[in-house]
Amino acid sequence: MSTEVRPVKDGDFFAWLDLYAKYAEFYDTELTDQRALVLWSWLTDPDHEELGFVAVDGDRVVGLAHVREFARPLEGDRGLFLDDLYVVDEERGKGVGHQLIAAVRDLAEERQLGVVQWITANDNADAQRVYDSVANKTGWVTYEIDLAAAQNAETA
Amino acid sequence: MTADVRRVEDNEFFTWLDLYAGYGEFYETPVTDEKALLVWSWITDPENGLEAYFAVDEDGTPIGLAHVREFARPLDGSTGLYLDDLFVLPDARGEGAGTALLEQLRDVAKERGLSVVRWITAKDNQEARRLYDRVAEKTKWVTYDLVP
Repeated sequence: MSTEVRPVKDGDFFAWLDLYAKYAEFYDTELTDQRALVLWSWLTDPDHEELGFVAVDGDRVVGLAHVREFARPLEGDRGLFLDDLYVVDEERGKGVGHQLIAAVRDLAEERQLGVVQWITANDNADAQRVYDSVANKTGWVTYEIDLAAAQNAETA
Repeated sequence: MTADVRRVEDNEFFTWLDLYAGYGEFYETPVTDEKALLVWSWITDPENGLEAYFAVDEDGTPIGLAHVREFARPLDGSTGLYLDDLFVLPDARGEGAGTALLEQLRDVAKERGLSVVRWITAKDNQEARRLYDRVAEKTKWVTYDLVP
């Protein structure tokens, strides 16, 4: 296997979009053109905190990861949050997910960050098998006040 | 009885530290002087996204504390508000300070057009979870940590 992980660059837009649309589909989230362009502008703007990695096999993009730093007040340090991780169906089980996570971990190490953290749905068993082999499942429970849903309900 | 909520001001370091040290104790994570000064520098630096709020009682005495920051949500194409720390003095619990803090944060997020207020808590923190279950939704997210 000759898959490599590298930061996204300007020429990757269409290949990246293709993958990101599949990722959004997996999460039942509609990816509008506008939303995709906003995110791409974040990834390619050196002043924006969101960074992207792609896994490439030759000139094919087969995986992606999006990360950003976050403050951890009680720890008195910063961490790296993995917002999105995706590997195309036909490349799964070949270690691409591990390679992406390793690249993210290397970045965290280089920046001396205290943790790499991410969330996944409790029913996403495939992903959790990969995650359980590289990271620790925490006991945290996440709560949300969903304002978008509240706003939609008000305008409906 | 209801508590008022306001931003923590630049000259309130020692008042803030009292509350934050109590919070650190609860989570068995000591707030060392070094850590306190670092976090305080984040709170008071307008370039840093960390914000601090006090809940105050009827005499204006701070009895609760919250730290929040905005965060990017790529898949949602939006920005949310993350609640890092929430603490109410043990003696002042059950009087609405926690609810007042969460309601204020919800209003702040709403005003700014943010899509969500999100936080985590320990599974066995029953006292806090009773409050959270009233004002928020428990999600299906599982959190993973990898220490580099």
